[in-house]
Amino acid sequence: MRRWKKQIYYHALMLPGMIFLIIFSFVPMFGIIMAFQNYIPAKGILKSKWVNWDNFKFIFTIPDSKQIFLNTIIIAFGKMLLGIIVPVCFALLLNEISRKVFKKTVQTIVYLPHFLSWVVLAAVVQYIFAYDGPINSLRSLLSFDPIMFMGSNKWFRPIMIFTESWKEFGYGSIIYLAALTGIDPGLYEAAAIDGANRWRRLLHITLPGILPIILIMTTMSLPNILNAGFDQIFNLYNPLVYESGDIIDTYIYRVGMLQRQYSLATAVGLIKSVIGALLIAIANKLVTTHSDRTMF
Amino acid sequence: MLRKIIHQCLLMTITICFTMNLFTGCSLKKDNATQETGVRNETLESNSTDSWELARTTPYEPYPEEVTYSIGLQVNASVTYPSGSDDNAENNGYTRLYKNKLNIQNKDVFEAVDGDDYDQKVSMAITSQEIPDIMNVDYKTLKELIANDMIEDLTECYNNCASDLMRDIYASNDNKSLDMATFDGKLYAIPITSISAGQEMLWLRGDWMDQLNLDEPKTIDDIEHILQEFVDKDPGNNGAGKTVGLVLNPDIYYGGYAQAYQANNIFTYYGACPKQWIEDKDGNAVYGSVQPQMKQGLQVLADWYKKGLIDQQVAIRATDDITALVTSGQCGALFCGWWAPYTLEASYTLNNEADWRAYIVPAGADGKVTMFAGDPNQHYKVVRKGYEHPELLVKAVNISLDYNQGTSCYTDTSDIAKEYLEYVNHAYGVDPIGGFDYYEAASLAYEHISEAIEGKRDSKNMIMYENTLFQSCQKYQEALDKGEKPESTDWLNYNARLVSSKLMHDTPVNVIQPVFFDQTDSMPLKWSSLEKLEKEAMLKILTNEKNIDYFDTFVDEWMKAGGEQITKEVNEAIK
Repeated sequence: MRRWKKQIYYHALMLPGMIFLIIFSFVPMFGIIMAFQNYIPAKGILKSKWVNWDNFKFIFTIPDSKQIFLNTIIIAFGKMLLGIIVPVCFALLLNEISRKVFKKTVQTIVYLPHFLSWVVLAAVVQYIFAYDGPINSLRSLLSFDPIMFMGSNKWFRPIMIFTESWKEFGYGSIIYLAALTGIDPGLYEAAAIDGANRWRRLLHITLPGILPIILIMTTMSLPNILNAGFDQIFNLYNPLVYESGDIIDTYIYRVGMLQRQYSLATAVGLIKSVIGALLIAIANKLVTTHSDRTMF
Repeated sequence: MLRKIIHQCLLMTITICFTMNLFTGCSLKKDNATQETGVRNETLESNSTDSWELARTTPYEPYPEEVTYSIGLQVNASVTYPSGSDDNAENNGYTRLYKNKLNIQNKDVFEAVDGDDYDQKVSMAITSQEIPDIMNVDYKTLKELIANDMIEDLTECYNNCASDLMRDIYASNDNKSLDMATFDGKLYAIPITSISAGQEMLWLRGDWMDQLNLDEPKTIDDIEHILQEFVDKDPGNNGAGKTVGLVLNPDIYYGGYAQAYQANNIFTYYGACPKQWIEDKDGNAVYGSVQPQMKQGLQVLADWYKKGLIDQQVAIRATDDITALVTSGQCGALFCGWWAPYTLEASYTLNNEADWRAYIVPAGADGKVTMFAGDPNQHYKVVRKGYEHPELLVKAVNISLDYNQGTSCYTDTSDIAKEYLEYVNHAYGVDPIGGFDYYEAASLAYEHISEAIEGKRDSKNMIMYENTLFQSCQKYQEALDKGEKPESTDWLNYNARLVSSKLMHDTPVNVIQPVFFDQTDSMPLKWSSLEKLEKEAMLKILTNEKNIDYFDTFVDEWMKAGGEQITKEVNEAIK
C-alpha cells in the first residue's frame, strides 16, 4: 500500500496516454463487428445484416488481392530491413567521430526529414525523380537516357523504400546512439591494451553491446509488415504503378472511403491487425528463446 | 496537394467519429420522435389551422409563425462575409430573404466543404440516425434513404408548391431530373440539375499559331501537325525540349463529364463513348470503355505520345501540375469545354500575349463533333422523414430560383433583396437552400448577353447572373476601345461567354445519351477493381508501355473481374 502511494504520481503520468489508447484504439475496436456484416449506414451496426465470412471470402476473390498483399509485404519488408541496417550503421559511424560539434550538427540535420509530412516530402521526391528533374539531368550528362522513375514499376518500390529510409534513419538512430553511450568505456580500454584495432573493437564490443536493442527494435517493427506507409504511397503513386505500388491501405482507401464499402474496408483492416498481432507474438517468442531478453 | 491533405485528415476523423457514433444512434432517434410529436401538438393548438394549411399548399404563402429547419450546409473552402458585418451562416443576406419571404429560419447541424467531405458528413449523419431536416445527397445515398424510409415523399409538396419557373427549368431537360428522383411514382427529392457542358473544344495558343503560320485545325492530322510544330519550334521560348504538347489528366483522360484535360473528341470521332453506359446497335447497354471502337482513339493518342506530342510526364501529373504548365506558358494545347477561360485566366494575367483560341475538332463525316450527355442531376435535396413542413424545401427553392433564374431581382427593390443581390454578386456566405439552372443555361447566357451587347435586348430581360456577366463583357470592350488592357476577370467573362460560348452555341453537335447513371448491386464491391484495371491499362497503352493489342487483354480481364456480370445487371436495371 505504501508503495502504491509512492508510485501514484508516476502512474498518473501514464493516464493521458492510457485515455488516448482507450478512446482511439480500444473503443473503435467495436467497429470490427462491421467486418461480419453488410453494413449500411442508414441501418447502423445493430440492424445491418450479418453475412459472416462473406467479406473475407470476397477479399480473396478480388483479382488483384494477391498483388496488393505482395506489394505491401515487399515494400514493408524492404522498409523494415533498411530501417534497421541504415540507422545502426549510421550510429556506428557517427560514434567513431570524435569532434563533438560536427557530430551534433550531422545528427540534427539527419533528424529533420522525420518531422516533415509525406504530403510535403512527396513534392520533393516527385521533383527529384521527375523526368526533367535533377537525377535525370545527371543521367543525361553521363549520356544515359532519362527514366520515368515515378511511372516505372521497376523503380517505384525501391524509391519508396529508399526515400522512407532517408526520411527516418536519422530519427531511428537516436536509440542506437543512446545504447552506444551505455557501453562501458573500460571494455574499450582493455581491448586497446590487448591490441585490438578499431574494427576488432567494433565487432567484439560495440556490436554485442547494442545487439539486444537491435533485436528489440526488430521485433517491434515486425507487426508493421503489412503497413507499407499509406501517406507516402498515396501521395506518390499513379495508375501506371498500381502493379507494383498499390498496397492494402491505398486499396482500402479507394474501396472503403471512395466507394463507401465500410464492411469490406473493416474486414481488410482486421486481417492486417490479426497478422500483425500473430507476428509480434512469434517474434517475441523467438527473441525470448534465443536470447535472455524478452519484450513482455 | 490540398485535396490530399484534406483526404488524409478526413480519413482519420471519419474512422474515429464513425465508430463512436455507431452505438449512440438508436437511442437518440427515439428522443427526436417524442420531441416532434410535442411540437406538432403545440402548433396545432396555438394557431389557426387555416393559415398553416394555406402556407402548406401555396407556393409563396409565408408561414404564420417562424419555422426552423435544420440543415447540412455545403460550403466552399473560403467563406467570406461583407467586411464589418457580423453575419454568420445562420444570419446573412440569404437567410434574411428566406425569413422575410417565407418566415423560415435555418439552423446548421453541420457544415462541410462540397464533395467527398460533405458526403462523408452525410454518411455520418445517417449512421447516427440523426439527419438534418434538409440536406444534399448523391444518388446512391438517396436510394439508401428511401429504402430505409428515412426521407419524406415530396410528390404532394411539389405538386402544390412548385413555381412555374421551377417546372419550366425541369422541363428544359425533358424532366429527366425529376424522373431520376421519382421511385414508384413518388418524388423523393428536389433534384439539383446539371447544366449541359457542351462540346469539348481544343484550346490552342493563337499567338503561337500566328507566329508559326499555322492554319486552323480541322482533322486529326492537322492537330498532330500543330502539336508537332509547338513542340519542335518552341514558339513560347521555353528552351529546347521544354514545351510540352497536349496535356492530359492521367487519372481519367477521357469519359469524365465537364472536365478539363481530357481527349473525348478523339474517342468519339471513332465512335467510342468511353466510361459511359450506352446502347449498342442491338439495343443492349454496354460499357463504352471496353468497346472495340476505343482502339483507334487509343492508337492515335499512343502515337502522339511516342512522338512526344503528349506531355511525356502525363502519368505523374496532378491537375494542379497541369494547370501550372498551362499557366506558365509551357503548354499551348488542351481539351476543355467552353468554360476553359476560367482556367486560362491565370495564363492571361501572367502574359497578356496569351491568345487562347478554341476549335471544335475533329469533326466526323457529317461535319459534327459527337459528345455524350451527362447525368441530369448533380445531387438531390431531401427532407427528413417526420419533418413538420416538408413543403418548406420546395417553397424556399422557389424563392432562390425567382431571384437567380427569374426576374425578382429587378422587380424587388426592398433593402433585403438588395442585400441578397449583394451577397450573390460578391459570392459572400453560403446560400442554405440555393437553386439550379436551365439545362442549356450556358447557351441561353450567350444568347442573352450577345443580344444585349448588340442592343437588341434590354439588359434587365435576363437573369441576374447574366446581367453581371454582360456588364463585365461591356467593360472588356470599353477597355479595348480605349486601348487599355482589360482586367483579367473581364477577359475571362468575355472569352467564356461571348467567344467560346458562341462557338458552342453555333456549332451543331451529335449528342449520345448514356442510358445508365446508377449503380447496380455488384458495383459497390467490384467497381473499384474494374476502375483500377481500366486506369492502369489505358495509361499503359497511352504511354506505350503496352501496345494497342493489350486492349484486348484488358477487355478480357475486365469481363472476368466482374464487368460481364455488371453489364448484365445494368441491362436488367434499364429494362
